[in-house]
Parts: sequence; structure tokens; C-alpha cells
Amino acid sequence: MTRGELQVRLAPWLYTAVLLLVWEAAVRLFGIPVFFLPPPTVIAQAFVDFWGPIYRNSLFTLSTTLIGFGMAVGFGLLLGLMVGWSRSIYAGVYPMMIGFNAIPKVAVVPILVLWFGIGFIPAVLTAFLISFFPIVVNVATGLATMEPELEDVLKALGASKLDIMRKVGIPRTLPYFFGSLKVAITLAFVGSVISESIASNNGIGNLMLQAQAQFKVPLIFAGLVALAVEGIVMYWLMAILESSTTGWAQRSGFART
Amino acid sequence: MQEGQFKMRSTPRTTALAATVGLVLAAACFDSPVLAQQPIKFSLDWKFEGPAAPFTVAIDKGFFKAEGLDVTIDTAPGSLEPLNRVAPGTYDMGIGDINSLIKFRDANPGAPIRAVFMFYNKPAFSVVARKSLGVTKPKDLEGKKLGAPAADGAYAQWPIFVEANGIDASKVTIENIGFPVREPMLQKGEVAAICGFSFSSFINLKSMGVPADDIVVMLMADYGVNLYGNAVFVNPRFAADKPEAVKRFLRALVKGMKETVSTPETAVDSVLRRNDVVTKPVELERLRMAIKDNILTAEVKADGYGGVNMDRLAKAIDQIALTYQFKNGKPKPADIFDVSFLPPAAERKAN
Repeated sequence: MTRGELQVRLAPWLYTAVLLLVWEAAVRLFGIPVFFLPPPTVIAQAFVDFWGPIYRNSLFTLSTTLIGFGMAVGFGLLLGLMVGWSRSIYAGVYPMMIGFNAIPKVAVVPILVLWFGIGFIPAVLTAFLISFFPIVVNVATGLATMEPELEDVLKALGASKLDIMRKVGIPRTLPYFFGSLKVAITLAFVGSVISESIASNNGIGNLMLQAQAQFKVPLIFAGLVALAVEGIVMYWLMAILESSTTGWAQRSGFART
Repeated sequence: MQEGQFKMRSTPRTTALAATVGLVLAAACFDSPVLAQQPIKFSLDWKFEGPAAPFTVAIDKGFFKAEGLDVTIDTAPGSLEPLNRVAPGTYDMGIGDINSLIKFRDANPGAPIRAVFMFYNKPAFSVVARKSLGVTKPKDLEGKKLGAPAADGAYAQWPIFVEANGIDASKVTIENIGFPVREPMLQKGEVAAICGFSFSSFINLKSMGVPADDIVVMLMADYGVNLYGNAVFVNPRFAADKPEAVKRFLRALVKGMKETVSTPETAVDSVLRRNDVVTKPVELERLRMAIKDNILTAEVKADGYGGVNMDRLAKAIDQIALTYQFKNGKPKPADIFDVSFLPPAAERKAN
């Protein structure tokens, strides 16, 4: 491993450590009270003290998020391909989708709760609703940006529209698709936590509400950290998935140094 | 003060100019105290609805301004949240559940936030249920679902309600539901009862079409929960630095209370002006209910607005101690409620 590579490997840990150190020092130096901003050491203590509930609720949030995200991937991919396939479907569906995406999901949750009750289902659906849009847009964009010359050549060689879609369109869309997964997975967490904090007996969103009601500010922050960790891990998995499936598409060396 | 802010090279001319400006400004300030208004950021305990009228009317009628105060009022989701806002000084003053304040003080000994004015002499904390779902008394809750927002002032007193009424809490399923879905879920029958403020939940259910005679309001205060309700409290640093401002705030608030209690039908307009989605008949009914049940009690009629009976507060703390383990010892009533900012009793007399 060269020195440069080592630097890149260590950078995330180093930067995080510096952030935590500055945070801890600032809180202690300026005497900021714990109920305003607890220092990292106090949050770590909250992790130790409440490990059971944090673990259980994290798993719940992770499961609702992943199910909602899975639905978003399936639905988003399908809709994206359809939208990219036909101009009339595109014209028909797009305005609706944009309108739908513009609706604040926090306003949708109460409606979902009235339809499906509290807890698991509204959390899954909110995660789904908030995360499918970027997938659709990216898949559709991937198809829309296919070079017309390539299409013409393939047509001239006798390829049907389905052939072009299968052999060129879909592979060409994959980098966009996997790129969008990284955005969608973090959004899915936002969705499930919004829903949990409005109506649920489980999940990190609910844990943070309970902590707030009992003035346990360090526990609120511990919940936030748990969410951040889950978000980072899932993002990282998506990034691995992206580079292992569509590594061929990333050829630029721009940010390598 | 003014001069110090000019960071230009100090030629004699600029210095003279700056000094003149400073003098003129200073003179202006001394001449008319109105110019030197003390800003106060105040956090409500809820939305702009009927019972907030004493605060909003005090702004609209200029009661705060007459005391040299520039008060801005913001809404809050529930009676616990204002504590989190006032304790660090994000807001100077606020109104919220005094019983949660007592627990907050115990959990955060470094933040000696104190109540200075009792707003709901008889708390509005209640369990609201529906006859048609089989709940008419506390014991009926066993085997049923109770919807409760985590950050709700009424739910904060649930353990005492359980204790005082001999309910087997293990048989009650608590569903954590947020404020936006609380009444709708009771209306739909997905829960059999909810925790909420009487005038919030009762009026909301009624305006959603639930027949009034189907709604059962169990005011916790009528079921053995002997607590005070929501009180105005102050950030400790603000109280120490600006005691006069706190006193003047309370003087104006008393005027707002009197105005609201004597003419609720006009006072409620100041709430409607700040909230586009509420209607006058509903908010007026809500306000009248709050005045009748929670604000204008026998104790207030005898002793005036805003004060507390220290013996009653001591008993309330004793009752809290039944279900809450104090880490730092049971607090003294005088350390929770500071009477020194209240206007004289004659001024606070209820009309």
C-alpha cells in the first residue's frame, strides 16, 4: 500500500476523530449544559446504559427501512424503465410523480396511520414513498441519455426495440440506478423515522420521542448516532454493490489524488 | 457602546462624529423608554388555540408594550417541549407542565429553571374515552388500548392516575401516537381512550363529529390526581439578569387574563388572527371550557391569578414521588415556584 492509499484509508477515521475531539473540547471549554449539547463521552455512556433498547429499536428501524427500500427499488426500477421506454408514459406519469414527490411525507403519515394503524406498515410505506422517486428519475435519465446514433446503428442492424432495451438500454442505465440507490437508502431512513416518531411503539424515532419526554437528551443523541451509523453502513453497502456491478463505468481519475 | 462598533481609522473627525451619534442615540434612549423595549422570546405549550388568548390578547392590546416589553410568542408541540427550550435559554420564558418541570429539575440539577406564574390552577390533564367503546371509568381501561403522545403533559401524569385509581397498568396497552393522529384514532375506534388536555381532546372530537354524549372526559384532577397544571417559567439566567422584565411580563399577563376572562368572545379574536385554520365558535368554546374548568377555580377566585398554595404544591410533589424516583431528593416547593416575581395580590384579584 502506498502512502497515498494509506491516507485515503485512514481519512474517514481521522476526520471523525477530529470532529469528536473538537466537539468534546468545545462542550467542556464553554461549559455547555448536557441538556443543550451533550459531549461525545456522555453520549457513549448513554449507549452503554441503554444498549438493549437502542439495539432493539435500531433493528426495528432497519427492518422497516429495508423493506420500504426494497419496495422502492422494485417499483422505481419498473416505473423508471416504463417511463424511459415510452414517451407517452413519460408525459403521462411524470407530472403526477413530481407532484407526489413534492408532498411533505410528514403530512402523509397521519393518513397512512388512519388507513393501516400504527407501527410497522406506515413506517415501511413512508420509507417506500420517500425513496422511490430518485430511483425512477435516475433510471429514466439513464435511458433518455442513450446516444441516438447507437440506437440508429442497432436498428439498422435489425435489432428490435426490446433488443436495444435489453442489450444496451438497461446496462447503460445501471450506473445511474446504483448511484440512485445511495441517495434512496438514506432517504428511506428519514421516511421510517418520520413515521415512527408520529405513531409507533418501536423504532429509533419512537425511542428518541420517549427520551425527549423524559428529558434524556444524551439518549436522543445516542439515537441519532445509531441512525447515522446505520445510514453509513447501508450507504457503504450500496457503494460496494455499485462498484462491484458497474465498476466498468467509473473510469475517471479526477479525485484520485 | 456605539463608538466601539466603528472600526475605521480614528481620525479626529470620525471620532467626533461617532461621539455625536452616540450621544444623540443615548439621549434618545433616556428621553423615551419606549425605544428601549426589552425583547422577550416566549414559548407557548401548544398551538394558537382558544386557551392561548391571555397571551395573544396581551400583545394585541399593547399590555406588554406598555410595560416596555417586546414579546414574541411561538407555538410548541405539547407541554413538555417548552422546558427543553427555556432551560438552555433558546427562549427566555415559556409555559408548560409544572410537574414535568419538577422532574426536569431533578434530571438536570444544573438548570434551576423555576415556575413564576400558575396558569391552569386545576390541570386539564385527562383521559378521554368513548362510552360506545366500553370505557366510562378508569378501571374500564384494563384490556383496552390507550393512545398517548410521548410528549404529552397529560400522559406524563399517567402513572399517578394509575396509582390513584387502582388500575392494573399491565393490562392497558399504551399506543404511542403523535398529536396529529390522536383524536382521529379515537374517532375511528382504533384506541378506546386517549391521554390529552380536556379542552383539546373533547372539543376536537366533538368538532370531528363524535356525539358529545358519547365522549367521556375523565379529568385526572377529579380522579385523585392532585397536581397543579401548566405554569409560566423563566430561564434562570434571564430571571437573574432581568428580574424587572419578568415582573413586568407577569403584570401584563394578569391584564391579559382579566381581559380574556371578562370578554372571552373578543379576546379569542387575537388567537384567530394568528391561526388561519381554526374557527371562532370552536375556539371560543374551548377557551370557555378552559376558563371554567382550569383557570377560574375556587382557589383563584379567593387568591387571585397566578399564585400557588405552597401546601398544595408540597402535596403535589409528594404525589409525584409516589411514582417517580427523585435522584437528588424531593425538591422544596419554594425552590420550584418563585413567588417573588408576582404582582401584589390586590392586582391579581380575579374579576
